[in-house]
Amino acid sequence: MSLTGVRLAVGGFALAAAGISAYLVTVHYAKQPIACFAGGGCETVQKSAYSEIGGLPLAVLGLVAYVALVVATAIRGELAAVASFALGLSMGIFAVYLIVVQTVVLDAICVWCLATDSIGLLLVGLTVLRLRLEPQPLLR
Amino acid sequence: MRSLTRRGRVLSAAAVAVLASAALIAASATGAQGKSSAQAAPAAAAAADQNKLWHVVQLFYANQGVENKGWLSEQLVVAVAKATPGLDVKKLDTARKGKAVDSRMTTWQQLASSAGVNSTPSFFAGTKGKLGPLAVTALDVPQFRKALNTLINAK
Repeated sequence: MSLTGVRLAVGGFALAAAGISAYLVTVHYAKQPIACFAGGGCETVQKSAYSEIGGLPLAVLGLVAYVALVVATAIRGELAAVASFALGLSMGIFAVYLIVVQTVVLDAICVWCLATDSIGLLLVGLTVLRLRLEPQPLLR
Repeated sequence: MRSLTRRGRVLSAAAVAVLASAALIAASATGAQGKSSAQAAPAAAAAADQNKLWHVVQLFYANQGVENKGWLSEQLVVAVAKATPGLDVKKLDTARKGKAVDSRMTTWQQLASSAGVNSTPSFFAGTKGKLGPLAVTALDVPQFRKALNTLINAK
């Protein structure tokens, strides 16, 4: 896979996750029910004590992080690749935590959250791949 | 000063990412603990003004769901208030969002902390006017009998 291909994949997945997060932010503030499939655990997860940190919905944090990743992906160079990797890794670790919370603590699955969590995990690999493919700067 | 090598930059970024996610996880897990009681407590504290604290607390416990699953919604707080006989719901609603209740909650929290109350339920008993935590590990009669007998027989 070429560097451009990897960057397009990272950008595409991050954009998709940002879109899902934007939807969750919108329904949260509009106090609308979430369109949920497969089991209907979305409301349970979104209204749980784990859906916010310090009063800020996790969806907002997710939206900010995924948009930041889209921006870092649009920028060429090693520094942007390192920043993408740091963002991807932290998203991946937090995604594992959120999957454990849904499956073990809450025993309810929010498909939207699971989709963004899966993308978060996938992005760890893709951002590592970008880092490997990114050429080193000639001068330091 | 020499700049970092690529390996150094990547390792630094990884360390920052791990620390940031660990901080987020800690904040999330800590914040989730007791979130339900944080919503119920102001309502109970405001009900105290109308001498209905125990009625409100009793109704919350009667409708308690699984811990940290978000069972305590705004709707439940309103439903509990409406279901409490003799409670002025409008008065309670204004009071529970007010500064007086906020300050009362802080005082109660400080009292609880200084007394060593860190879980629900906590029991205190004592002789000669001196109260101390009652060491029970289960909510049954033999446990309480044993703990109280130990307290009574202690010099």
